[in-house]
This record gives sequence, C-alpha cells and structure tokens, in this order.
Amino acid sequence: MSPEAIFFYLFAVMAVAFSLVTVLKRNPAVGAFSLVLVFFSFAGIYAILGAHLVAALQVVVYAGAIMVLLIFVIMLLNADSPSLDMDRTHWTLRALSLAGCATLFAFFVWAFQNGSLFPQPGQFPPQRVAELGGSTKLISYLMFTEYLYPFEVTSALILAGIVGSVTLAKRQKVKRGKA
Amino acid sequence: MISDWYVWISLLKALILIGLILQVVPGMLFIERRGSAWMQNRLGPNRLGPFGIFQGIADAVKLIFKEDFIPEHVHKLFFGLSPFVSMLPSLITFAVIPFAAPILINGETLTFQVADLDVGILFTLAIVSLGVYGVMMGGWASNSKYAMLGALRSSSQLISYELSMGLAVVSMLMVYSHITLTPMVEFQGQALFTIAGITVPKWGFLLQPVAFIIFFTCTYAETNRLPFDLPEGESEIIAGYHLEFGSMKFASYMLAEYSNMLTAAGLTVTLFFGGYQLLPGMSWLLHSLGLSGMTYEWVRVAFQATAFLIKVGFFMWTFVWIRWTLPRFRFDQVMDLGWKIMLPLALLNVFVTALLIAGGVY
Amino acid sequence: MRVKQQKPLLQRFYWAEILTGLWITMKKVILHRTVTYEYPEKRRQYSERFRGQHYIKSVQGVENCTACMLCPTVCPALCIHIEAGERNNKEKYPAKFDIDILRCIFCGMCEEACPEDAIKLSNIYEMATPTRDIYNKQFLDIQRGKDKKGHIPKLKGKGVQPQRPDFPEAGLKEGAVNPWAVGDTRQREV
Repeated sequence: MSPEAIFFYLFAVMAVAFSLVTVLKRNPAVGAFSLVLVFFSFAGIYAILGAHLVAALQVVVYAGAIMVLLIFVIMLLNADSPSLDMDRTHWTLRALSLAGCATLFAFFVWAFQNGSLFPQPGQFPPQRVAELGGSTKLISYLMFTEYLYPFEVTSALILAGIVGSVTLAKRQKVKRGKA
Repeated sequence: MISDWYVWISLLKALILIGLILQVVPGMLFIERRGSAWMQNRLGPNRLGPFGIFQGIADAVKLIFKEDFIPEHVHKLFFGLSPFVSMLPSLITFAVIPFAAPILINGETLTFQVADLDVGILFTLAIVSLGVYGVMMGGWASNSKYAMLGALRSSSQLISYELSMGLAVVSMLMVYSHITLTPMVEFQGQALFTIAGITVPKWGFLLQPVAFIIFFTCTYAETNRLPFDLPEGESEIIAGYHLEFGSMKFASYMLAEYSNMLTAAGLTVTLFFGGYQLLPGMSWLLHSLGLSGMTYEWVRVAFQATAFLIKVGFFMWTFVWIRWTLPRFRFDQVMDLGWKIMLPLALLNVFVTALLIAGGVY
Repeated sequence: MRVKQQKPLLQRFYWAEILTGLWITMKKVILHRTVTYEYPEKRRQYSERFRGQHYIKSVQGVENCTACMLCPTVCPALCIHIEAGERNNKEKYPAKFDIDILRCIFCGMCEEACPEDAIKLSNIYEMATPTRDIYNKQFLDIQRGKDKKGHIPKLKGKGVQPQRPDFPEAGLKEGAVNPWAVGDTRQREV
C-alpha cells in the first residue's frame, strides 16, 4: 500500500469515528474536543490531496480559533453536565433515522461509482500548479490580483460581524439619577 | 508521488528531531537551575556528575518513579488526556525549521528539515494555535478553582499574542517574499553593506527591528514564560493549570513547555538571525580547510548545523536570563499590552513595511 | 492623595530599565560570586559566643556543678532536670542532670545563670541523631564525640572544625595550676 493510502485511511477513520463521538456522546465538552480532532483529520486529508494552504488554514481557523471559542463558552457556562431531563427517543424514530442514513450512504456510493461526477480539469491541473511554484503561491497570487474584490468584500463582511458583536456585548452606560 | 526512500528518510529525521528535543529538556532544566542560581549569588545543583550535569536525568528519574495520583474530583478522561494533548503540538512544531542547507546526493535533494512543506511557516503558526487546547483541557479537567482560573488566563493570553505574532511574521514574509523557511534563510545570507572588509549580512533583525521586538515578546507570551508567567505563577495562583497533575503528567507539561521554548528559539533564529547561516568566524574556517566535493558538502552541513544550534542555545539562555530578571506582569497589564500596544504596533509595522517595499527600500 | 510621578523619559520606555536589569544579572553570572558554603566540605566559622551544644565543665576530674538549681529555674523551655546528691565530703553534686535537647531553645540563660561556671554552651552545632535523645550527665560530662578509647574524632570534610570545648581535666599536665580552682586543689574523692 502506498503511503498516501495508509494515511488516507488513517485520517478517514479518525474523521468518521470522532464525528460519531461528537454526535452520539451526551457530554458537550467531549463532543467539542472530538470536533477538533475531526477538523484536524480533515486537514490531513486536504494535505494528502495536495492542498497544503487549505489544510494549514483549516487548522489555524477552525481548530485553532473557532473551536477554542466554542470550548471557552462550554467551559465558562459549565455546560459539561448532560441534560438530565432528556429521554431517549422512541425506538421507531431511531430505527427510521438509521435506515434513512443507510439509504443516503448507499445512494452516494452508487452515484460516485456510476455517475459522471468526476470533475472536469479546470484552469489549474496539478502539473500547472507545480510549475507555478506550488498551491500556496498560486492561491495567494490569485487572491490579490484576480479575486481581489471577493477578498475585500469578505473582509468587509467579517468587519460587519465584529462591529455587530461589539455592539451586542457592550455594557450599557448606567445613567446617574439626579441626586 | 512520494518515493519510499523519502518516507524512510523523513521517519529518520523525525526520530532524530524527537531525540534532540528530549535531550534538550533535561539540559534546559540543568541550565535553568544553575543559571538562575548564579544570577542569585548562589550555587545551583552541583553534586550529581561534574558540575551537576546529571541533575536533569535525576529529575526525570524522580518524576517517573513518583506516585501518579488521580484526585477524586477530576474529569478522568480529560485528566489523563491533557498532558498528551499539551505535548503533541510542541513536539510537532519544530518540523519545518531547517538545520542546514539542502545537499544533492545522487540527484536526490536531502533537506535538513523534517518536512519541506509548501506552506512553511503557516504550519508552525497553525500548530502553535493548537497549543491552547492542552492548557484549557488541563485546567478544566482539574475541576479546581485555581486551575480553572489559570487555564482561562493562559488561553486568553495565548490567543491574544498569537495575533501580534502572526502580524510580525507577515511583515517578515513581505520582506523575504517567501513563505517556506529555507529560501528565507538563503535570503538572509546576502550582504547588507560592507564596512572595512566586514560584511554585515541581511539578517532579519537588522531589516525589521520592530518586528523582531514584537515577535520576541510574543514568543514569551506564547510559551507562558516570565514576564507573562501569571497562568502558572507560583505565588499567585499556585501553579495554575497544572496544579492537580503529579509525576509523569507534570513532567509532560514541563516537557511541552521546554519544547515550546525550543521551537520559539528556533523560529526567532530562523526568521531574524539568519537561521543556519554561519557565524562571523566560521566561514573563514570552512574555506581555509580546503575541502571539495561531497566531503565539503557534509562539512558545510556540520558547520551550518553547529551555527544554528549555537544561536538557538543563545536564545534558550535568553529565556532563562529574562525569566530571572524581570518581574511578572499583572493580568490586565498582559491583556493591555497584547491588544492595545502590540497589535496596533504590528499593524503599523506591516503598513510601513508595505510603504517601504513600494518605495524600493527592500 | 494621588502622587503623580514624573519619571525621566528614558525610564518610561521600559527598554532602558529592562536592559539595565539584564546587564546586572549577566554581570552576576560572569563574575559569579557566590555566598554559599558548600557543606560539608566547607564550614562556617562561628564566634566564641556561639550557643551550641551544652557541656558541664569539670576541673581536675570533678564537675563544677553543685546542683544549685539555678539553671532549671531560669530555663524558659523547662528542659533541665537535676536531682541533687551528696558527696562524702558533704558537697552537693548532681546525681542526675538531664537536658531534654528537643525542648531546649539554645538561649544560653543557663550559662548566664550558673554561678559555678559549670553548664556551658560550646559551638558544636552538628547534633542531629536518628533517635530522640535526652542528654544525661554522663554525656554532658564527657561531651559528644569521644569514642570508646576516649579519642575525639575529626569531623568529615575539609571545613573548619568546630572548636571542642576545653577539657581542663583532659589536658592538664602534672603540676599545672588550674586558675579556676578555688581553695584546695587536691584531687577530691567522688
């Protein structure tokens, strides 16, 4: 087996297993930490595909910042104890959902094997990417020349988010009553 | 796509790197205790071995044989897991830092870093941001007020100073116009100016002193070292997030801290001090040996690795030196410094660097 | 009242202070003057007035103590217990003289109070034993350290050997005059 296959299976098994832990475990903190591992294994899969920049950004942004925030929230709100007043769902509903998931999975497998869903080679096949100096260089070059407008609009969107959150979290100045 | 040879060589390099890190930790323990003792007009441990150099090994053996207690009130899964989670990122981060320039052997290039990644320094920044988890998990799993407080303080300190560190790195990237570390070091081999026969190379701290100061300070905050020591300050919150951990778990936290220090020193040297570029006298020595061919290549590699290790050793000493000189920052001072001073300064530095590059200075 | 401190400009930039501090610590590392005594190779030299281990001074084989009970009275820690006895020549002597060394606070009041120059404190400070000792009269008479043959061994290490208290009866030669002896200096019967 080639090294890529070994690592792919490793990361894929990790991703699936920890996704199941995230969804099935009752403790939110365990779920959050498993989600970090899911993102980490995704980054591994991206790296195997040769998208190094996306892998690094996945770790920096998702696993390193967003999940940190989520775990902060869980820790501060002390939300690690599972809800006590939640009953288990009825067995028919559980069986139905399992059947639905299995059907969807079977459909995806059939579609990938029999459909013509292979992506057409676009503007940047792997050889051209390697010629131009690697995916990082190419992406950053494109981002600042051809796709500059979407980049700036995204940053304006994030700025809107920041301003909104500051406005929501700002303390109201208490007005002094007339003494 | 990847040859078998490449995989085996990478494994070998990874093993060598892990061995290096694990050897450095007892050495750092010894240097910290002796160095701090000399700074305080006393002798450090000098009983074990000549000059007490086996003290680190003795500490490691003691920590292995201590009783590994698990208090009743902890969250068992995370309590056992958090030392590993803390240790893993600190061991991985050193993978992209080059020890020497690559050699051509039989047509195959042998690079002297564990992984020659496309994204270079972004990998390090990514894994450093994962270092927050060990702290948070440890503090939260301990179910104790001091540990929780220390973990919260430490994680907010870490994420605040990551930003300024990233921006300082960005300004260096703009100057070097490469993101992988080996071309960065090669860039620093060029001459800045020549005075009276002495060539001053284009080392990073000469090109961007402000970025150097910001990065240097941020590495102290990232590794939880004094003066940003409050998360594990002994007199304040009694060891903070690694309060409830004993024996080998505590040893893992200490190992993580010292490996983080090693990575921080390695990054500082690579970005700002010429990486594996030879120190002033060494290139003359190398050329005066009069070798050629493959022997010359391997000797050059040895010289470059030695220069790198000397520089990294100096910065590790600087960690100890500053720890035992400066007092601790209060936590609101830490956050003030991180958000109100470092971040605007780093942004301003990026802006000024962009202007200077557009003006043709670099 | 708030006092506004106007520091000089160079001090307000932290760097000058930080670099000064770094230089001070570096000087300490380079010059490397330690104040540590590496025990047991080197020992400190204490003064003559140092209050260490107790002993009862004897003159010509006879201890000076007359069991006057002044030292148990003055001792703040109540660590001295004396039982008096009578000699053949109607002199009082301590039949039992116990100092509980664990209670003693080494204040030296017994030495000050003693009118006979009997109980004294030497400058031996290495008194650690694995058992809880009570110094009895025999120990206090002959002092610590004498082995079975009566020799006083040297302490380990090259350091300063603490002064052994004077043993007038051990060192006096034949015919020498003991300045402390009052009156009759013949050997007394015990």
